[in-house]
Amino acid sequence: MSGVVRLDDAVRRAQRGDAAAFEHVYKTHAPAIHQLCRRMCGDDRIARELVQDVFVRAWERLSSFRGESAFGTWLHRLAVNVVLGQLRSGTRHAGRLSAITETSSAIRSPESGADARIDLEAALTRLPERARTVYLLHDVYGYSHDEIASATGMAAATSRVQLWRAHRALMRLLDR
Amino acid sequence: MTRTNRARLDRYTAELRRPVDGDPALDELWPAIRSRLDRGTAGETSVIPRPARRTPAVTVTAIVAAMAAAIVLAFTLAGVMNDRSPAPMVAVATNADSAAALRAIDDSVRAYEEETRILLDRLELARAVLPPQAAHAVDHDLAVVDSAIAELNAAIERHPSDPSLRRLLAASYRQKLDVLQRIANAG
Repeated sequence: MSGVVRLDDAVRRAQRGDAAAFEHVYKTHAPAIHQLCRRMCGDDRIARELVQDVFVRAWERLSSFRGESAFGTWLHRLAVNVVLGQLRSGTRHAGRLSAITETSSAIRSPESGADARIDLEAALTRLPERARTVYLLHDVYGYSHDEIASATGMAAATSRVQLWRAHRALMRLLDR
Repeated sequence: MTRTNRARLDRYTAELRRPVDGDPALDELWPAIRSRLDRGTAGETSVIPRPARRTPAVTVTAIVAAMAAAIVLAFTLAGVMNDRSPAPMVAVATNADSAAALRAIDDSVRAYEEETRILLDRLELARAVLPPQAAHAVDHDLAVVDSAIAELNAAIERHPSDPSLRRLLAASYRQKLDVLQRIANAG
């Protein structure tokens, strides 16, 4: 697709089956979706597979997007569901948490925002899966506990407990 | 968790919320995605027919069953709950570290436990006349809440001086009662 294309137009065209327009949608949103997948599953290779799954699923379900929320919001929620489904199935867990964890010991005194981000992302990979999921969805992506409960099947109170655990564990990890 | 540590974690978390930069390497994934989109289509065209939306029969069945269960449960519970006393108010701790606040929270938890126990006793009587699907839905919902409460109680045993856990426990019981009340009101 050449030239500047408004995302809204691209989404509408993609809804009519225009794959080139969908490529534009992909290139706009892929970085954020990849970041979400990598943070939630803790492995870049798996995250890339999940990115593909998310956009294939999005293509299949584009007709259900009614424009009631921003497309990015709709896509993000769909991605969360895809990742949670994979985490539940456990089919892609081999080798997770390797690359980022290996770098964590080298980063101890973050001064810049970028260092802080890397340090926390490394600590995230050490969290239990449920605590990591709740921390990311609640603190980073702004989901309510009720929304997390709906997406994960855990009770809202359990979500609160997991968040408390995540905070506690992260502080310990970051203090080391 | 000290305030300093919490502030540090908050600062780090804020970093994670910042928009991510583009990653050119992700462009490499598009051909594989495009290939998956193309799969199953008759011709090589730029416009790919998407599968029509379909609503699986099992989903419709599940929705109907859930609605039926909710309605049946609402009518059943309306009878047993109309004469119940108002739910106790949760004490809000203004100073979370104070012993008085902890006692107030514990009192609230005990009041909710008692209220919940009474309701569950009545529900057990009503359960006998529920259709199997409705009974299963009730059992499932209660199991989810009970699991959260058990997890909280275990956490409180390990960290008895943490007031936030006790507040969460009180909130869990309040949620349980709220759900039961909403079901009754729906009738």
